[in-house]
Amino acid sequence: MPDYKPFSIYDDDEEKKKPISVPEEMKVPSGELDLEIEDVPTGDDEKTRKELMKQLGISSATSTPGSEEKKTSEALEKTPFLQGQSTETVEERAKELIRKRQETGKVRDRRKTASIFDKPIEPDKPIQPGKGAWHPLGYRAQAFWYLFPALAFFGLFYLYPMVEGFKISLTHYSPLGNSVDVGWGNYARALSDSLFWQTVTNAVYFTLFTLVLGIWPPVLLAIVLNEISRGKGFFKVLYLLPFVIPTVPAANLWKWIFDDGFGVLNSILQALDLPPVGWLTSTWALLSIVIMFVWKNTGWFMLIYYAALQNLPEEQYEAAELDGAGTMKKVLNITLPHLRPVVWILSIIQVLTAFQIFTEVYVMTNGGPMHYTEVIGTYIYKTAFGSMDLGYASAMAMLMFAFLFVFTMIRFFQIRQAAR
Amino acid sequence: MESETTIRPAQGSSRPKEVRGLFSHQDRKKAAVKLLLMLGTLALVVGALVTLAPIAWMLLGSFKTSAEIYSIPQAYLPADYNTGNYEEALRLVDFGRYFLNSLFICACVVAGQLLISSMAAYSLTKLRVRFAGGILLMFMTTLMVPFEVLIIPLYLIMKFFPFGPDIQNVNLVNTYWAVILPGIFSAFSIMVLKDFYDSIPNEILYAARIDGCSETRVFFRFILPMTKPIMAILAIFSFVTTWNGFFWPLIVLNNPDFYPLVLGVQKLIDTGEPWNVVMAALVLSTIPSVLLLLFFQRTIIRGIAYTGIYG
Repeated sequence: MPDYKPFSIYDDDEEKKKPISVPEEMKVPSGELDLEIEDVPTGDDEKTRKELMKQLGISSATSTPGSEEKKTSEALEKTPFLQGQSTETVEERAKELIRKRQETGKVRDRRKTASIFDKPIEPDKPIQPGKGAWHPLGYRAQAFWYLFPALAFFGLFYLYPMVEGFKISLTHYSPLGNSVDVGWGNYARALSDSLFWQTVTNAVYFTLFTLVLGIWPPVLLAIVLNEISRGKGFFKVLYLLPFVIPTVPAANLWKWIFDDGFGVLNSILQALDLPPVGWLTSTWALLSIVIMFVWKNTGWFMLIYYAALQNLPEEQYEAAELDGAGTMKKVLNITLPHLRPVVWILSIIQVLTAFQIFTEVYVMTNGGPMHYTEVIGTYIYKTAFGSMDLGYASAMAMLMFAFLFVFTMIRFFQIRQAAR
Repeated sequence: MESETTIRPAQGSSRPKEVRGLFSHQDRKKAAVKLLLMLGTLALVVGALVTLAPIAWMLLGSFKTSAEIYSIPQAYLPADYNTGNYEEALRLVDFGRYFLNSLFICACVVAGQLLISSMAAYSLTKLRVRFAGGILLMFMTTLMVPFEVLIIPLYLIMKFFPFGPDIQNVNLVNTYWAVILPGIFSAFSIMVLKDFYDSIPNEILYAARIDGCSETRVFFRFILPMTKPIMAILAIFSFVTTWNGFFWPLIVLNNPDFYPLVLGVQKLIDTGEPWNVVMAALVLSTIPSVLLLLFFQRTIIRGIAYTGIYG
């Protein structure tokens, strides 16, 4: 962010922290106050004058502008304290008044207010709209109306469904209005459902596999990509290709590649005289989906690491070279530590995506064989829209949310930090 | 080369230095370093081949005949490149219709999302709406909620729009709206835009206001044009996300007239067509995305670099 400082009528912020400077003519001399009639502000500052008169105990019942000045001076002359009867009181009152003015900041340096704005512009704070901006409901209201569409969509499609989803999870839901309230029954049922627990273990395995296989290749590729001098753009686009094509074609393609009889992988194995592998029809299935998942996301991660490498100050390398560090040491002690926060962020993203995976599994195995690849997404989908057990499906979704809560909180703070 | 991480309003262009990398320019002339760099390039090429091989395999498969594709061992190259499979795929489903459906849905989502997010971000940063921090936090929580949590209530909301089965309602299931409406709000867009707006100096707004611009005019004539680079990125991202979306359309759309492209292709595949026709259909459904990547590669790559940390 540019180090930007808005124009201020004050020279800098420090001046504002100082007590407000009092103009010379308003300052109280250390000795006795030399109060004269001329010192009382007249006509030019109506408000100040009235206030002063009020505080000095002069009634200003007169209101006609023309004769006012004259009447005021007459009244002043008639007041008893100006005739030497109670000098002390006058002095004290005046001092008190000036002190109050200093505290409340009503004393202004007139040279500084010669600006289009009456008050200083505060840096780093949004500004008030100009006086010309007309709108029926005022400035605050306008700010609100700008926000309103987003709030409405947020409320209707995020907040309300969240609340409603929780309510549904507490019932045996029937959309025709015969829902039976079952309290925490659905949650208890999910926690004693072995299939649900299997989806959780599958998700954990899936996450671990993706972390092991998916985090490091892009780091290495990004480091290499940063070094080569030609063809960077070409490689970037090539690696990004799987990320951009939709999941459905990608998953179907891999389904064919992993096919038992007619897939290319088993063909190759056969050509090498190796036994075929049931890529999607045995316990291998989960790993096969992980391979597809990693294939699809590597280019994306690589680009993020690559972008992070652009911020690495080259002085660090130079310093290391002066100290006699070799390539390996530079990579291990400078490059990788620099990438560590990004690795951490992407790991958390991986965990969250892996837990929420649906399309890949739905297309490639639909949870089969023997629920080896059943993940929470497919199980919820089948429960909700296959057997129409919406209450139970909602409860499982809520449990999933709860399981992921730790990771979502980490992610939350990461994003907050990034958005700061 | 312009840096990929700096996407800021134009304030005079200061080109960053070319990043030096691991090796200094002198070191690059050494034989050992050259060898290392060549090995690295080789690794990149191998990686690229692994990345591309499945896609090439899909292309090859789409030209094979049934006999070739169902032979054991597999025929690696088609004997003849004819387009019979494509004709068959086009005969089976209405790709044009699906394509237009997808396009319409994506256009609505992108336009709505950009407008709403921009307005919200403007309000949160420059108009100083009340509780801005709290509202932003609230929006951010939506990034944390797994979509599985929302689908069931969202489905009910769509079926009995807007407030569920108890109140007089409209059935939006099997309409475009069922897909468009939930896609419009995006906390991600709002956050990225807010970040960007923070970097726009207030003086510009001051100047406009002093010249007598209304708030609306300031927003449309000054702010929106200034945010073009980031808007392009967000537009492409939300376009790709919507275009690739499968889970939600699968739930709310049952009428082939409204299928977006990926859903239509999946429904075709579910009917059990032979692999060669399936591959032709897959190629057809992939082409728009590949073209998008080729045409907007700079924007996409910059966007990934800029927004990567938000996920």
